[in-house]
Amino acid sequence: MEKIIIVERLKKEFKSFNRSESFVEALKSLVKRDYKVTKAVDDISFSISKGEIVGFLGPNGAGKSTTIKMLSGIVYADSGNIEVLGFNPWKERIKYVGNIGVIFGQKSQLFWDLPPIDAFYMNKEIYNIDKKIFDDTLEYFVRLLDLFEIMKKPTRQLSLGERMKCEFVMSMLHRPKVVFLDEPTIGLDVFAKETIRKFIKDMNKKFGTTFIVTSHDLEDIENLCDRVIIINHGKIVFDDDVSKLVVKDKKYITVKFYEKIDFDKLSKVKEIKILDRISEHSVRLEANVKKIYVDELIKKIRMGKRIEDLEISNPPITEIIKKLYKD
Amino acid sequence: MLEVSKVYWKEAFAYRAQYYFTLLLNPLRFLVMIFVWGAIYSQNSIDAIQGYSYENLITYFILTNISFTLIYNQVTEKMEEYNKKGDFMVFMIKPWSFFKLSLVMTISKRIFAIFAEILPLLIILLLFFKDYFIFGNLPLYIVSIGLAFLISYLLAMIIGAFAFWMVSIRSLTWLLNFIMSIFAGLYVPITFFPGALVRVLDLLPFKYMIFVPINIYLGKIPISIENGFFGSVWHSLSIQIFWCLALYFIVVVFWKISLKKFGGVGA
Amino acid sequence: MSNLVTWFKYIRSSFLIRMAYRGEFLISLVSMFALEMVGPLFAYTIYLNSPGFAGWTFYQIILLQGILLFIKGFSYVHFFGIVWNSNISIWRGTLDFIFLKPRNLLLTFIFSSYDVEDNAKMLGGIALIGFALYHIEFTFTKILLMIYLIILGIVLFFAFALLFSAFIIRFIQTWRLYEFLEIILMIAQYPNKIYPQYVSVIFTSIIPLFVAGVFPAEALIGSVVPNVLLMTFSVVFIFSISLYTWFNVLKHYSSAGG
Repeated sequence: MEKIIIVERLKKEFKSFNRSESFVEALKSLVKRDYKVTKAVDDISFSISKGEIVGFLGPNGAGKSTTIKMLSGIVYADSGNIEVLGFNPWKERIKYVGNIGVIFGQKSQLFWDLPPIDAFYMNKEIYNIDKKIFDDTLEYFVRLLDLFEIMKKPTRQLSLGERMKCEFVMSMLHRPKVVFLDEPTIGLDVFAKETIRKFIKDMNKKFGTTFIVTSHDLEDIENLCDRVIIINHGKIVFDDDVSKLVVKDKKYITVKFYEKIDFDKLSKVKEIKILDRISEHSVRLEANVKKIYVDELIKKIRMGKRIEDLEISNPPITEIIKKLYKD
Repeated sequence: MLEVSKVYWKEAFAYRAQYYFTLLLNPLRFLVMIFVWGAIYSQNSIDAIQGYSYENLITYFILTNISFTLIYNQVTEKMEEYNKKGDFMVFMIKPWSFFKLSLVMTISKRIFAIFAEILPLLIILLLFFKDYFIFGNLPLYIVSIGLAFLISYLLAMIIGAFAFWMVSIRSLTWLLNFIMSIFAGLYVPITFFPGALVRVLDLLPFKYMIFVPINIYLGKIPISIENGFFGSVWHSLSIQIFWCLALYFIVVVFWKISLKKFGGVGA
Repeated sequence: MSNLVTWFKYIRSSFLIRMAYRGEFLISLVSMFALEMVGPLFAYTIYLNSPGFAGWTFYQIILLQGILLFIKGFSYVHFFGIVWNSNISIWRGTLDFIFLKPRNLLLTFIFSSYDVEDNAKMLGGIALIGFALYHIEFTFTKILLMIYLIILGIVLFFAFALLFSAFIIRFIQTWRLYEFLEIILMIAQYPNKIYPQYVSVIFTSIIPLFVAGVFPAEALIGSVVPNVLLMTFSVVFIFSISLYTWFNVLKHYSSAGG
């Protein structure tokens, strides 16, 4: 596949001022302020192909937003290179930004007191969008997102979900080839999240739009992305398929017996660790299945008793990521 | 109480640029007035206007600067901020009433301003305008400016309550500024105005915010009641107290209505 | 051309926004007008109690203040909003968005900063000028010279707007700059002759503030012929510096990391 985003050895440092804690320090700060340097992005490289949906994960302050800002041409890197769609975002800003869309989940590009439709028409002018293309695109979005009534109401009267839909339209009317999404589902309810995710997938299928998504919500990543890049302390700690985010030899088992459990005996099974004694009849276990087949393990746990219910699951993605963050 | 004050003091420090500007702006405003009136008096060789010599007027402006800093509050700005953020719920949740909370806030900020704004201003003025400092009736001035502070605070509370009714009260804040700068006597002693206007202003609370406290300090209003109670300091102070009570009554009623209206619509 | 269309769209939206609350819009126009009348009222008080400023009649002072108010109003409406906008954008963290539009940064910023309300100032200025001209005799050439100097004054205000905006973006969010400007403009409300020599020189040649009031008024009255060439030179100079500073600050904003 054609590489449309190439990032090489990107670095970015911040100076941040220490906020004064005590009253005396506040007094001191009138004269002198201390600051410290943080490496927001520390030597990262990756490339993204056309039509990919790539997730950016990482704890707060890991450098996700900074990376998005650098990719979209708002912030310059200290060193390293970015090439998106053949453009250098900082040297050819005006030409470049006409080809991308950016959404910040926490900030609005709409006019607070005006209906979104006015903002849409404003973008038509700013981006010099051809009337025919604009009308077609808008009609398509309106039908897809059911915006006909919504976009005529003043923005301040919209729910967060409705507003977010309009934010998407706003930044996609000029049919960008690459779209950067910074926390696009933050604060949304389950239904709104579902709509937004579906919309992203549709755009990706229909127009081959490439998406780069940062999110705290792992469901977003699992549902949307084929590939995930995890950043911590400004460095890439994982860059691969989402399906690779699995620990193969670890399982969680919840089991319920008809009879009482002999916990003493159970604790002697060496492949397992008791996580939770749910009741006298049921227990939750963590099992190491590296050297044993699952059916054999169940046999060992069962110890001849009858099982009423059994659930075996892979460790949730959160735990794997937590582990990656810690390292 | 002290803890609450401390928070506001820290907040005041946090806006350092704001602070430096204040230090710069007040003397500047003062200087412009000095130049303007200096030109008027000297170019036309005038001794006194409405009983104010040029020297009297400088003293007057020193006092308006100090008085204005003392009675200043940011209630309307605060209300506008709440309005913009849609934050009115704070009035329902906080254990202190907004009236009390914001009064404590305003007083803390004024105490802060005495040290951070008035003291530096006094030092600057003492360096260049030492001769125009008159030792006046400080105790009565303090009483009067205290009442003036309350009048100013209550007026701001009334304007502030409009935030429940309007999208933005910025324009009303401007109107209040207009009234303050002209009719309270910030730019010019109000006796300089045409006679008819002066008589109208006698019936309104505005001149009791700056003009009257300053005249009490300067001894232009007699303390003794030999010539009758009317026209004496005690008369002025009574009118100030009257306005405090009247405005307080309006504040209580208007806020009750406004909060009820807000409760009915929002939440 | 396309920029012009975009600009009109923004102006239209600004009006639409304010029209959503007609009543409040009206109150706000009236309040703003009232606040701007402090200067003329003050001048009236001066002339009520004294012969006033040497060499200036009351109507001439009103002309001076009218010109200043017009320049201020025109600037506030059309471009001074970038100062306001800088504050708001830094506060909300939305300054980033101007980088995302495929347009010139400054134009995008100016377009989105159109201010409807300050039309009250501009109209107030026109009213004062009209009132004064009714009582003053003038010739056609003098009017032309006055208009030229008014244009220079507007360019000077543009430079102020750029510098203030740059200051806010680069250093710290503050509303006090407006107050600062108001005080500077208080100086410009009166004839330059009332100030000490050095003040007069500073505001004539270094920061040619008097070009926004005193000089256009004098040009019309014909009492003094202002040094037009010097004015033009210093205004263009300060404007170039401001423009350079503004773009530099935005470059810094990008490299410092927003």
